[in-house]
Amino acid sequence: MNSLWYDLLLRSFDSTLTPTEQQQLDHALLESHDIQMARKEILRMRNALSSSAELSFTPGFAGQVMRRIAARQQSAVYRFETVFRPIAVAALLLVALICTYNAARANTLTVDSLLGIQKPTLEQTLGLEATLE
Amino acid sequence: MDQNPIQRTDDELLDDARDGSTHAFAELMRRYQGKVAATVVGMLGNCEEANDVGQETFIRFYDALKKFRGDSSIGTYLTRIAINLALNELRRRKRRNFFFTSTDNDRDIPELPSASSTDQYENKELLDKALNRLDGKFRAVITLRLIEGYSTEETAAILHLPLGTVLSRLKRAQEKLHAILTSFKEGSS
Repeated sequence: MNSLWYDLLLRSFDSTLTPTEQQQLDHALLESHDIQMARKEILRMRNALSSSAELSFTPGFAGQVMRRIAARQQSAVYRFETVFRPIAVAALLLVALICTYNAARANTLTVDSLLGIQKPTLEQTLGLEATLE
Repeated sequence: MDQNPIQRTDDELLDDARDGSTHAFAELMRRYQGKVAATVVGMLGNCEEANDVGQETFIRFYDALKKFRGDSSIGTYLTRIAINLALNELRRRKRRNFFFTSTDNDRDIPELPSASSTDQYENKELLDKALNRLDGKFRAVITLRLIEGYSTEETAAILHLPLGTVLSRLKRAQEKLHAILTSFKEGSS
C-alpha cells in the first residue's frame, strides 16, 4: 500500500483531516481492499491497547503509600523542611523589614546604619562616665 | 469531617487532606489509583518498578497538596507526575541496560510468547513486550492517547509538547508498534 495512504489513515484516527483529504480517504477505502485491511489492522491494534489498561497496583498499595508518608513525617529532614523553613523565612522577612526601616531613617547608607547601630559621641561617652562616677 | 469520605467530592476531599486528614487522602488515592496504574504500567510494564513509581506519584501529590490549586483536574495532575517519574525510570533502565546488557532488542525474540495463536493483538503479554520495545517518548504518547484515552490536545498539554509533535509521535509509534507485532507474528510462524 502507498505510504501516503497509510499516513492519511493513521492521521485520521487522531486529528481532523481537511475535507479534501477526508474525501480522498473515503474514496480510497471504498476502492482498495488493502486500505480497508490496513484500517482494520490499525483499529484492532488501538482497541487492544485501550483494553490493555492495568487498573490496579499490587494489593496493599494504598497502605504502603500511607506508611511511607507517615515514616517521612517522622523523619528529621521532613520536620526541618516543614517546621524550620517557614520560621526561617519569616525571620528573614522581619530582618529585611527592619533594615529597610533603618535605611529610610538614616542619612547615609552604611552597614551600621542599616543594622541601626549608633556610634556613641564623645559627649555621650563622657556623660556615661560622669554617671558612672 | 472524616466520617464518610466516599460521598465527598474531590474538592472537599482535597480540603480535608490539606488539613491533614489521612482518610481523605486515602480516598483520593482509591479514586485515582486506577488512572495512575494505567499510566505507570502502560509506561513500564507490570513490574516492581511500576509499583514503586505509583507510590512515589502519590507521595509527590501529597507533598504538593498545599500548592495544588486545581488549574488542572486531579487525574491530569497525577498523570503528569506519573508520566515524568516513569520517563525518569525508563532513562535509568536504559542506562542500566547500556552498562550491564546488550542493547540489541532482537535478541529477546526467541523468549517471546508465541504469537501463532492467530491474533497478536489478543495476547496481552505480547502487547506489553512490544510496548516495552518502544522508546520512552513514543510510549508516553501511546499510553496517554490510546491506553488512557486522553485527547491529542490533552496529551500535548500533559507532556508539554506542541500538538504537531504529539501527532507525529503517535503516527510513528503506531507504525513501530505494528512493525514489532508483525515481526513477533512472523518470528513465531
